Amino acid sequence: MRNSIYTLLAALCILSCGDVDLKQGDVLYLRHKGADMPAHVYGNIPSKTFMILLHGGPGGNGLEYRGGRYVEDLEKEIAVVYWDQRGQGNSRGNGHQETLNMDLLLDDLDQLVVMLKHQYGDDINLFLYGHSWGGTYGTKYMMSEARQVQFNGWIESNGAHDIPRLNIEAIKMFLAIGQDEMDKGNNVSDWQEIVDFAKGVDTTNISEDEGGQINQHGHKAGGLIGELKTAGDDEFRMPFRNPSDMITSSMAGNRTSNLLMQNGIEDIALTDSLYKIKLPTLLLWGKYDFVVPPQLGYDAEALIGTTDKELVMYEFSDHSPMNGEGEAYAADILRFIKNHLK
Amino acid sequence: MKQIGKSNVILPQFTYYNHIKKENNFTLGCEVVRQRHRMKPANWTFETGIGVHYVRSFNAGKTFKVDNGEVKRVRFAGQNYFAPSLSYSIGRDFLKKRPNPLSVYLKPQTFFLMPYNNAIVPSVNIQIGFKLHLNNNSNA
Repeated sequence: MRNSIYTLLAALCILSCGDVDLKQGDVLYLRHKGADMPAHVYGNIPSKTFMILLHGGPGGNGLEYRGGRYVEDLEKEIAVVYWDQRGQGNSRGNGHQETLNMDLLLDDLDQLVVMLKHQYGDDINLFLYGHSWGGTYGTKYMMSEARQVQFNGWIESNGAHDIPRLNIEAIKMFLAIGQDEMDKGNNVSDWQEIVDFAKGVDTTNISEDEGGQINQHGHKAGGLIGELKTAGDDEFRMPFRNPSDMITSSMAGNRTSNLLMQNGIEDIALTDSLYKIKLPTLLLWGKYDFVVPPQLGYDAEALIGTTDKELVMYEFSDHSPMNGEGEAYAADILRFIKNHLK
Repeated sequence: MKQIGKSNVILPQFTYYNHIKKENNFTLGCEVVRQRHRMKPANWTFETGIGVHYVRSFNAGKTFKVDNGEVKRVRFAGQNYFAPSLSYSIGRDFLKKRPNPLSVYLKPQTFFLMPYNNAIVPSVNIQIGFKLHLNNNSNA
């Protein structure tokens, strides 16, 4: 018993105070309309080049993206703003239950930009990056020209800028790639389950429930592709060594996600409005992304209203190319940023 | 042969913790604790507690708000919560010699913070503590 207690004490000490990263960077909270939202700023702040990271979900958090080789490479060159959106991550506060919708989120991001420029100077280079749900959020934000001028560039990674369309495209991928994998004899029973599900979905009338199942099957399907590159051990971060509170973050995030669903985010379809984006744009996609299929990347490449746009397709990645192909991913982002500094 | 005793106590509780880069957090409240002592063959104490607390958190770093384009610092920004709690503690007296026996305990406790983002969310902590028994006759 005594030895067990000593061991537990030692383990808690190691877990709670070992990460030097926690002593670096800035933490700024934005208070807006009933919420206190943290923005953790890490990396090369003197570079005066900042990339706001819009996390996925909804229900995720900014700091869950801060792990692995790609972050090390990015933070050497630029400052990354890991922001927790309203009601998610370590954001706290009440009063937005009735008003939680896309307009409020866009307003939050406006205020974040003002706060960052106040803190670091009006002359900073500012880039917006959105992954998955962050791609929905960022694309919606970029629908306004007045908002675009705040930024040097827009980086969309595996972004869900058209949720009805991504559901249809995911079903197509399940059927095509699923059949192909079964023909090769790869994970036949798992693929059979996914293909059977896909065959049962009426793509002219996909319900919210089916949308959720498509998302789950999409994550599962990505894991079944054998040739994907996966994250190394360095991607894993101990829960106690990250300022995110795992339990509260997860519970509050789920609730916020449900509220946003009720308020219509599943209907967001911006493909026909992509021409409004005149800002230099970098599109990053995993070839085997069953969650937000590559077709959405091809759409964006074709339809965004500027000639200064580029799509990078990662051949060995699914929904999160930053994990498996992090070195190339970071290099592509940095190349884009360096080409679009003031 | 086992020797078992039971007692109830009201335990005032004031706690502070720093969650790095998230918040500083103060808690004031009290717990009603049901104690169960097992003196022989080993000296163990088991406690089940239920409590109510006021929780005040202060955001880490700096907090700002934007009023009509003007950025203002908000000092002492944070949140207020009401928090019922549940706990269970296991303690053991390691020193057999009297007086002033020292005991150690392990106490997981869950605060149910409300309202937290318009919901109730649990905040789990684990206390590892030492008790110094000033009453020489105490065997607890």
